[in-house]
Amino acid sequence: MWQTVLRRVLLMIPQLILVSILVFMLAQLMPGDPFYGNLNPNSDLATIERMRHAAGLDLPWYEQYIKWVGNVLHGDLGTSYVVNKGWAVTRIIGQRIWPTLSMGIIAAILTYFLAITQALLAARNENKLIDRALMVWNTMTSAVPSIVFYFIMMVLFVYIIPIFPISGTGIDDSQNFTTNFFGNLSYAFLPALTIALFSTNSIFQYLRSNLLDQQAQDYVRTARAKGVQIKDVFRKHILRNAFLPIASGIGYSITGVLGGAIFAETIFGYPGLGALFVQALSGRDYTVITALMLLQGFLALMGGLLSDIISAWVDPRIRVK
Amino acid sequence: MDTKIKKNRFGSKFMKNFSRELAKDNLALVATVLLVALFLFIVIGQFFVPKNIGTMSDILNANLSPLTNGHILGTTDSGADFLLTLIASSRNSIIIGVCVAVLITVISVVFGMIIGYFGGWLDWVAMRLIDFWLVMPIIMILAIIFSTAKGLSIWNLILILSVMNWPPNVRLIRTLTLSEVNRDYVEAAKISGTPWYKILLSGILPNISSTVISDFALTLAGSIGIETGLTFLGFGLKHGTSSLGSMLTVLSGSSASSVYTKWWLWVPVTLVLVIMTFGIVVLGQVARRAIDQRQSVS
Repeated sequence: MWQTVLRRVLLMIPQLILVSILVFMLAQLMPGDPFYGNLNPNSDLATIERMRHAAGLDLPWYEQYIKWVGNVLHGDLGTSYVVNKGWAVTRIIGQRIWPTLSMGIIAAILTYFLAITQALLAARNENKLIDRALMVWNTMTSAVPSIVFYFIMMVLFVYIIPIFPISGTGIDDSQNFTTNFFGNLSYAFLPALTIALFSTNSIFQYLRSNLLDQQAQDYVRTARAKGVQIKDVFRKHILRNAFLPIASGIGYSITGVLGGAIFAETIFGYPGLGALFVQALSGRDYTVITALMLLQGFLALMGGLLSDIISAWVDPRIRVK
Repeated sequence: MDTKIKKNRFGSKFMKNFSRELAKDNLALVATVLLVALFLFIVIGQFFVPKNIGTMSDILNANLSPLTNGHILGTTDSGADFLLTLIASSRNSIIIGVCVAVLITVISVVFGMIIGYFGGWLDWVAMRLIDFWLVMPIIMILAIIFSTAKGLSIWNLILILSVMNWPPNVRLIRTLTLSEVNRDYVEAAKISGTPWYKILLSGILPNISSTVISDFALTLAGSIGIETGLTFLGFGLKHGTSSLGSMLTVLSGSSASSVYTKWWLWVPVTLVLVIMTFGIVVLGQVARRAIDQRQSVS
């Protein structure tokens, strides 16, 4: 198993290099730059040129790239030009990552909880009303753009029934992680619940059809013939087998933490990495954008790796290969 | 002549199955009726939409509430009639969704079937490319590309969305093709000397068409969603092109606290989005069932 993991890790290196080149070039393609973006009647063009030169923005892209990679390898992602002027990008991301992470963790747990409950209910009542209702519900949540649901949830639970705070976080830099996590819970819960409620579709569909497949297997009939109660067969045999493919998806849910947060964070006014991305993009803050894209690419690769490890861990048949 | 007659039978049988499936499923029927009504409303309504609806600014008539001065749903903050703006936006959304879905479906059917059928190094290269693509943060890349142009025309947006979003669809078609390639009928066709493009078009394609259709519907709804979301964030269609996404910006940020009671500013937009996307996906599922049935019956 560890050989497989090692091979996967080695394969990640060229992928990461490719991601970094692509990310860097995309940021370079953007017209305008953080200095010309702040042009006003009192700006002196020579000063701007000097600032561009100092930041290295007048070099050709490959020289900038090499310089950038060298800095990244030393843990230096550059300095923000616009969002938090003068701050190191690592500091901004370090500050913004906790809201996103706590929201993402709650959202992932809730998604799995809701999807598994729904799939169990649907599979136990195949073709009955509740099964059909759950199928329709999941079709709808996957078809309709998620921002529609985010708006509805926000208007419902922030304005009409004001049980959740409007925006912001309960995170205080001076506090430790656990205090922050619980202080932030009331802010993170609504976006997390909203994301979870409306993204159960893929897990639900997959688990439901898995459960139905497993129910028709011979070993279920054997167990039933021996006189084992259906609920015991369900718990001990069907569930364990049906959960195998679902477990490997946990790794991929890491990937979605940042990418999926862009809309939710913007709509709920939740200052995490997704909202930071929108801010940075509006202000042409290269360094922040490239750092966020690189982080997302890295997270996606790690998510894939984690998924492979989990599936090899829970299913011995994969390990043998 | 002979093939023409056959084709007609083919189509009428599909329509018969389709309507039977619709009649069996009440919810799908309701969704379809709503979708068709919305579609007719947009098609007829767009004749009343003035050309400059996205760029006009009539401050005296801005932000009117419904049923004043003959504006059924009031006016937008630039003074355009809200209902007409909604019609123009929905029309743009439908154009974008349909064009992107057609382009992606054509790309994925052609490439997916070819790499699935031939396999070998072509398949290996394509799959590595697709695996790599799936790792990329597509929404972020799209936002960056869209922001570089400070907003795009509809046709550029369609091209970029199609170019960026084909990999999952190609992978799906490839997987489907792989499961068909080793069937006996393909073997028989190969042995009897049928050329590969004929095997693909008249052998494999009909057998995977049910999934192609439901995938088409999902892509259509998904493209509408991506466009709405990105335009909502401000990185999408250029200013002056009506879009459901930009109509929803009233609810973002601090303005939401004062605006949410003005239901006419956002309820119609969300309703249109829900009817449109849900209806399309349900219709796709009904079509899939109608085709699957045809395969099993005859």
